[in-house]
Amino acid sequence: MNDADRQDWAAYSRGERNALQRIFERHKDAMFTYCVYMTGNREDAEDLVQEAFARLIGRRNGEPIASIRDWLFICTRNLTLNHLKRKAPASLAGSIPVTDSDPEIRRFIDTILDRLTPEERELVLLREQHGFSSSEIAAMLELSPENVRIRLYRVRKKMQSIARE
Amino acid sequence: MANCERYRQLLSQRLDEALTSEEAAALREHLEACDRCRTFETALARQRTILVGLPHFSADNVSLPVVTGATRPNLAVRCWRARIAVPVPLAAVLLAAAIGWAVFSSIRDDPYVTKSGFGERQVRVIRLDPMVANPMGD
Repeated sequence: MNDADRQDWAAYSRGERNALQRIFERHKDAMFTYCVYMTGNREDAEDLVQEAFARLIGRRNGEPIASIRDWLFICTRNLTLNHLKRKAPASLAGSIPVTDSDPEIRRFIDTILDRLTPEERELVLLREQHGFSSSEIAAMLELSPENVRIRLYRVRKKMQSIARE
Repeated sequence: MANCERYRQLLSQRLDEALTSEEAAALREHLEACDRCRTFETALARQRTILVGLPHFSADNVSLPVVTGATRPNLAVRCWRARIAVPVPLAAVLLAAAIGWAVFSSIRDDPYVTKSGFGERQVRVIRLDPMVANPMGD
């Protein structure tokens, strides 16, 4: 766990609510970004992030958490995948605002990312956008690191073949 | 080339972890000879640049949940509540109206209820069985 998270979680466990607010501020944007790319819907993403933090609050007096960041991502991921079973993901085309002037990013989101399955999409997002290592992803998804690397290779190959179409 | 698949896997793997010196040397040697794998390598690098540069979003509308004794209902429950938000209250109103109408009809037709006049209070007159009211028969 990163030091700031560890200290804040300990402080929150002692009853300091501001410490939880600091954890929230540190991680909410990354979780929200992940959820927006997974669901294609900002309102759903907001609900999912809030739900994950509600569950974190529920763990205040529970078992110790090794890494708050990993725990929050695992929780958000599980909530998101459950949510996607009830409600199909919206198309990313048009629902992801791109302020960047690079049209390649817009085309990548609309034509490539949008055509990946939720499992494929989360894999590349966790690895490239959020910077988790293949070992960290393996722990989160309960897979072997080797399996994660093979899956990443397949997704990268698929993205290239979509790009060539 | 049959080996290309293996080298492309190594190219992908190189993005996630360091290759062994033998793997790295073999890959270098292959790339010098294979145009298609070099193209694959370039495309992988471009793909990664785009993915890393994807826009991030601020969760400005999300606030930290406030827990005050009662636990907050989870998302599945909230979705379920949203689905029943209209039909259940509507059904309750219709049911209440039906019950009200049934009660009103039964009172209107009740032989023990008489109207003493328009706009005046309805008076329920209970006609006691004479034997019950005066069991001695006086």
